[in-house]
Amino acid sequence: MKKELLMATALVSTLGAASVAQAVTATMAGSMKIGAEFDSPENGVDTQNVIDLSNFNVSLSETTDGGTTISSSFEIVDEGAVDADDDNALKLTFTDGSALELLNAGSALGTHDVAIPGAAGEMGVAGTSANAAPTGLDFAAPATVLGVEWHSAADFMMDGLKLSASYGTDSGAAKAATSRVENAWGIGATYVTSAGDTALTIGGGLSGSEVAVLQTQSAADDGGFTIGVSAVTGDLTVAVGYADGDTTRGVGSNTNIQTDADVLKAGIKYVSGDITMNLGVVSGTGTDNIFGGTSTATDSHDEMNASVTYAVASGVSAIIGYTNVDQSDEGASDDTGGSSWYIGATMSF
Amino acid sequence: MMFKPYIVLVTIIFLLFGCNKNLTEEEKKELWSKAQTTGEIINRSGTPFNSATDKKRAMDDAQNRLITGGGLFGKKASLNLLGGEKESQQTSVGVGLPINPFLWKASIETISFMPLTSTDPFAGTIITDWYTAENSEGERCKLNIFINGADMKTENLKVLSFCQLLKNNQWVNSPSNNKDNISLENAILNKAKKLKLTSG
Repeated sequence: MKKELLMATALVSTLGAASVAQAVTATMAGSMKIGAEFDSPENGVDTQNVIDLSNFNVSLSETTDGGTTISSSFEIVDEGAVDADDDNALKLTFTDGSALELLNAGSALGTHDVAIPGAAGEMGVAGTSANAAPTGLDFAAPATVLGVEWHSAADFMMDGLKLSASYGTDSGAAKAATSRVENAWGIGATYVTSAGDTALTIGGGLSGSEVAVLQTQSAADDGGFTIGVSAVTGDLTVAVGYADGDTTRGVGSNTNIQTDADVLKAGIKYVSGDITMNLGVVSGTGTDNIFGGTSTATDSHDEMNASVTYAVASGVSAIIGYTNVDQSDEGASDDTGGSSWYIGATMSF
Repeated sequence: MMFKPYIVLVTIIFLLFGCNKNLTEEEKKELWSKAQTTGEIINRSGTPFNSATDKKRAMDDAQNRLITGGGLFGKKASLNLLGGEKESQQTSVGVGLPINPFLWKASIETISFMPLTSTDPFAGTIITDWYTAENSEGERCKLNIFINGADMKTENLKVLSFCQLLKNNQWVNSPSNNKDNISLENAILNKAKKLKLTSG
């Protein structure tokens, strides 16, 4: 046993790893949302639902004598249709502020997309699964579990700049009946500056991926980009963002659909004391085809949403939100649009 | 895809606004504290949720923490499972201080450009001396700030401003501007939230 310990010590020394001064720090946190949702679909019966979403997170972290923080976490999720335990990346944060996420890492494009103000709350209008119009600026941000993401420190190369880069690959398993990301890369940048009393954020990224498609034994090349600008003046935040790209998804055995899509988002947020008001608009379109197809019919999603959030106490907020959605599938208006209200509370600990 | 126009656009924006020269460390820190990319918002909120796993979950929790000034127990919600040496972050009231320390510190920092005549952390009062801004020589103002209670809430903060105008070599009172008072309260409250988030 003594010999093994000596060998282990020698190995650690050889690898240059710093000794760990104390046991890892474990902390727990979580959030809970509870509220009522009132849906009014364009063609259908009004419904009321209770929304009850709970998450519990356990984080582990330790800082070595050399100053590098090693951390990871896992989550237990109870979100109705989604009950899961999720494992997050192993993250190394270095003394200069840069960081490296190993395994379960995301896409750099998704790290640097600008946050567009929009309604808080869990209201939503269900669309058809065939509608391929995206609603988020990061819709073309694929990643695999065998991935890494690097983040630079703030003010990297020039004041106000931060960069990230990511890459992931698959497990090497045989192609499956539906599409799967074989490899993906992403780069992203955030630039902050000021114009008078206004703080400006410019964020964006590029991504590319190869998606395995069993049906043709070939790979689909997907790619995308996003760019956005946000301005903060006092209590007012105004932002606009745009994203364009291709995505491939499996919709059944040997049926894979590639979508050429884009989305434009804009929003305003105003904070007055404990009250935060959000107003957002989303306009997304997507042209989806069976892989290799030539259809030009377009799906669309147009949305307006608004919410008022009241900060009740530290970690507790009350939300009332509204959204109105118009959708079309393959160029023809479908009946999945409508409006939805939500009133509820969110708690974080 | 046609990246070229967008790359040109971004370059132009960089050239137009790329004026981050001679910034102090404090100014850089202030700029980053207002950065609006999803990654920056998640990072500074203290949410433990990872955007790579579920971005909506991470962003929703981050926004809730930023709006409310942290979690129920502070920024990192650190209920230390293994006990030990790290102090609980639930404490929001300083030892012997009956008022919210973040509101107090934020108030002092927000009006740091004004001379003070009286401060009482136990009564929660801050009273400034008369102050004349460089660009409004014929007007002077003073502030009374009252902080009540330990909770970081708007109701516990009251800002009253008093202004006077110079007429015929005499200072005469001008009506109080309630809008300015509310703007100051918002500025203090936002700073207090940031202080609370960075404290923990």
